[in-house]
Amino acid sequence: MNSVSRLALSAAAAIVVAAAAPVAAEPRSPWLGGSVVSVRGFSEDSGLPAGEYFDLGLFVEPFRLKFLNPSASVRSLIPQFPFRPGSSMIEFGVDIDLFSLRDHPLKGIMRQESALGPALAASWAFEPSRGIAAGTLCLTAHALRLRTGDARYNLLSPELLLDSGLNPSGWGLRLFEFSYFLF
Amino acid sequence: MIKTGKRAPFFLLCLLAPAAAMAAPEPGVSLGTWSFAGGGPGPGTYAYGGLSLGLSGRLELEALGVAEMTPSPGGDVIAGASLGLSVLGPRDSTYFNMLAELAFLQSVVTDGGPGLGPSYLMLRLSPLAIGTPYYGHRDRMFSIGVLYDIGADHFSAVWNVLIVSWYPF
Repeated sequence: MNSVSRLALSAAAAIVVAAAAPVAAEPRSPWLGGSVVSVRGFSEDSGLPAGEYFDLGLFVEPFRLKFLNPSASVRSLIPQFPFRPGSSMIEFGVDIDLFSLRDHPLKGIMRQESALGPALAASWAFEPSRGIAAGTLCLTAHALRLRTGDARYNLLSPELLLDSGLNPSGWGLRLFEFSYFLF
Repeated sequence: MIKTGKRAPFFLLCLLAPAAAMAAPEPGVSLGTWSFAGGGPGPGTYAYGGLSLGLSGRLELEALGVAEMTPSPGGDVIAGASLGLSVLGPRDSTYFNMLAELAFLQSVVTDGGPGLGPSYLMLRLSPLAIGTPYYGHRDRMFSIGVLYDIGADHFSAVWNVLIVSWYPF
């Protein structure tokens, strides 16, 4: 395992541990979770089909912590243009909001009151037909995560991809990712 | 196939639109996604940006650019201009509107190399446009269009999940 893999694995482990740590934390959020949708794509060397992926799923965010606020999600990634449902993937992930800034420079682009909450995320994506072990680890930086009372908006989130041997296998980009609290 | 000389008016329009947008009242800045289905430069994710201005109560002009983000960032870039019509009412006072647009698009970077590539005509409908320049913000959702490749005589579809526009002045 090379140093990049070790670093990536350490980052993923840190995100998972940080997400699991505040199990009994307060305050609780008035929302438990909702739906998440994103549009994303991957680099040529990722081994994933070129095209646009539509990503739809559910997330839970049980706490409302000012620092290191965790959430988890399960999603399906469907290549929509070109449409290849046979190459769809399932993805399990955890996110950690590092902090939340109410007074931020991007306030002007939002209609509602918002907070800037940069986040890190780790997820495991795999094609069900190949088995969960033959997947891809995605480490995502949500530098532009804007939160409102009932939604999260992520813009231009880059991803580092590692194959099942935890070797770097390319990169990805989430053009946008919107999460709406529903329950 | 359209010859370069015949494209000149369209280029002039593309160049004038952003300049006019900055000079006119209610200039707008737009960002969004752009999906090509069955045509255009090829599979990938694309980002869309535009500068717009109101020409009249219902008409608007937008200079736009579409750039490949994955798998090869900047590998294909398209520039163009569109003329939009607010279908349900004046653009400044109709909070829930519908927008129909006719556009000329020109590939200016193809497979990573600058130069003129295919040209397209596009007819697009944004069935849900929420907000107005008066409120400083407008979202166009679920826009769908027909793209005609002029050189290849081929029709395909375009799709924009969301286009967000800001009107800062």
